[in-house]
Amino acid sequence: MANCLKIAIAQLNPTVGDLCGNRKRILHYAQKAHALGAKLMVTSELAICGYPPRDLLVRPGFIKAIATELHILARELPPQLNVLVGAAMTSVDAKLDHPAEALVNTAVLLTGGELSEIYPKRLLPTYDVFDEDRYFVPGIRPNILSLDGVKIGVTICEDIWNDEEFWGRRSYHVDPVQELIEGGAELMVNLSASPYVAGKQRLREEMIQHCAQRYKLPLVYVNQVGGNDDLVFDGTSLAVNASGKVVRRTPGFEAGLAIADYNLATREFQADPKPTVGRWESSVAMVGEEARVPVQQAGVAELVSSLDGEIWAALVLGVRDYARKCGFSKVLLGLSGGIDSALVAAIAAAALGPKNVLGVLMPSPYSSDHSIGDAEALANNLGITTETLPIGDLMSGYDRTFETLFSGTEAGVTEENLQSRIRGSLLMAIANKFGHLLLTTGNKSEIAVG
Amino acid sequence: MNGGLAVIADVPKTRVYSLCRWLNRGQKGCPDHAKLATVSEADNPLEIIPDHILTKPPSAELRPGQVDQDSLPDYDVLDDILDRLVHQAQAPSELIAAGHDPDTVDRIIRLLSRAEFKRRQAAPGIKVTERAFGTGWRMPIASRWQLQSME
Repeated sequence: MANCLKIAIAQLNPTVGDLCGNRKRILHYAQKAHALGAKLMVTSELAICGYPPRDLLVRPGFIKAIATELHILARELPPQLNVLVGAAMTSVDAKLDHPAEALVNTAVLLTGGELSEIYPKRLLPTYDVFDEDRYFVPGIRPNILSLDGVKIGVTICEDIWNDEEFWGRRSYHVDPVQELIEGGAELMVNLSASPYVAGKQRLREEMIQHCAQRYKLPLVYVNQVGGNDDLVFDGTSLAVNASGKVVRRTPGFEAGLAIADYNLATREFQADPKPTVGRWESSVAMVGEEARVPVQQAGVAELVSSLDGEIWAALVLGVRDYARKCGFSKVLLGLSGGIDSALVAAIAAAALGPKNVLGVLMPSPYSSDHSIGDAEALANNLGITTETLPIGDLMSGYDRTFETLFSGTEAGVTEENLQSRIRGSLLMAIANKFGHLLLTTGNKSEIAVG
Repeated sequence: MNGGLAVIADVPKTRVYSLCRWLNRGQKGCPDHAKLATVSEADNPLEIIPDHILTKPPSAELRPGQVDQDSLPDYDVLDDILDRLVHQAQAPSELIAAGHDPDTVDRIIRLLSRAEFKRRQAAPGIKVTERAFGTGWRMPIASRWQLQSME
């Protein structure tokens, strides 16, 4: 299609701090995007370093290494492809006037072997899990990139979350989207790292549709995917037309590359001639598994149909990525026969495969017969292995040790808590000995009230 | 404190139950890469979580006959109180106006504040709600702010 600007959505799963690995992943996606005819590829926010890099950002060596990797990437990329990469840069590199050298959260345009433009993020979220005022200074001008005669507004995550019409209030004085419209933008891209929260996918999509309709502005929304510490990013990237119609939605909770065709005659994204499911098409590996790039060239992927299904997918991805990114292949947990450890065992089995999950039964004299039976039945259903370590002898040992010191006191909460501490020590010892990751099983209600 | 990852630290108990029931109903709508292959030989081929685990009264089994509801309200009541306190930052007066027993509200607030030091030592959890303990919840430990009397 000659009169189309093909835009590639790189829904990446970066590992925080793995600058070289993240650079290679961006390169593989870019090579694939180029092979599919894309003129522009957009990554998620801070894709080169992974989001959130937290206090790695205060280390000057980290910021220098990011710049170095970007220069290497620029030279490696197909020369005809324009790539917007999320990266932390110094205010000097970003040509942003600031009294002392500061950091800027940016979208860097890599084109023709160089870092040709640097677009700073304008709104810096500093609430809930976000801390961006701690690290960054904001950009002060609307960011517009011209490509094939199309004026493309470049925004980063929070920049589009300040629509008083949608939220009923403004959180910031500046509305970067309004300023882009005033600057003549006719298409917008957004590089995001928007963490998963139950129900947020639908809310986010409604907000993006509202933005597209309000400003008659087709837009491409690229979200990070994967677990990084306590946060899970769900991906679920979008291409939306000015009518609010969703033309492309990527499958959530999985990395991949999607293509959206912006028709230069109609100034809209091309809707698919016939409805398709919108899954990742299997793609041929280029250079080993690392280079596998799932591709979606058509369709609108379905959202997970229930809140339970969504939360489940997020927890499975969270465990899988935490283990993988920390370098663990096997996990263990205590199996009490209760519902909390049952759910955690199931999540772990889905995340890492049942052969990589060890359930440890640690019955005490107070354990009911059914607890052991229930834990064994669960392990059998999941296909995970179990070990049984009774704790009665250790409890007696503690009683003997404390006999004199605790004499004349009532046995109570202290002795009850010792059972949990004994179990914790045994689990940590196994984790230590075999290099497994210990998963704990407390739920939020329990953790709230101690 | 022990452990490397607190998998369900942001999953309220009532959601733990609904996730387990969803699993046993065949994981409807689950993306393939998150699906759990079942090897169940039980009567119900979909069963992942044994039925008895779902139906018995929850208990830490630290003393004979102990159940969680000896010391806590029913979990649907507790989770509504916690949802209002933690997720919605409501004042006790709002909880009481919503029909919660003032003594129960008072007790849960005390327990919530008193457990702050334990949460600070806990393994990281995976955020799935709008306010998770951890980076999104930065409460002081040595604090005299009394939620119940001051708000």
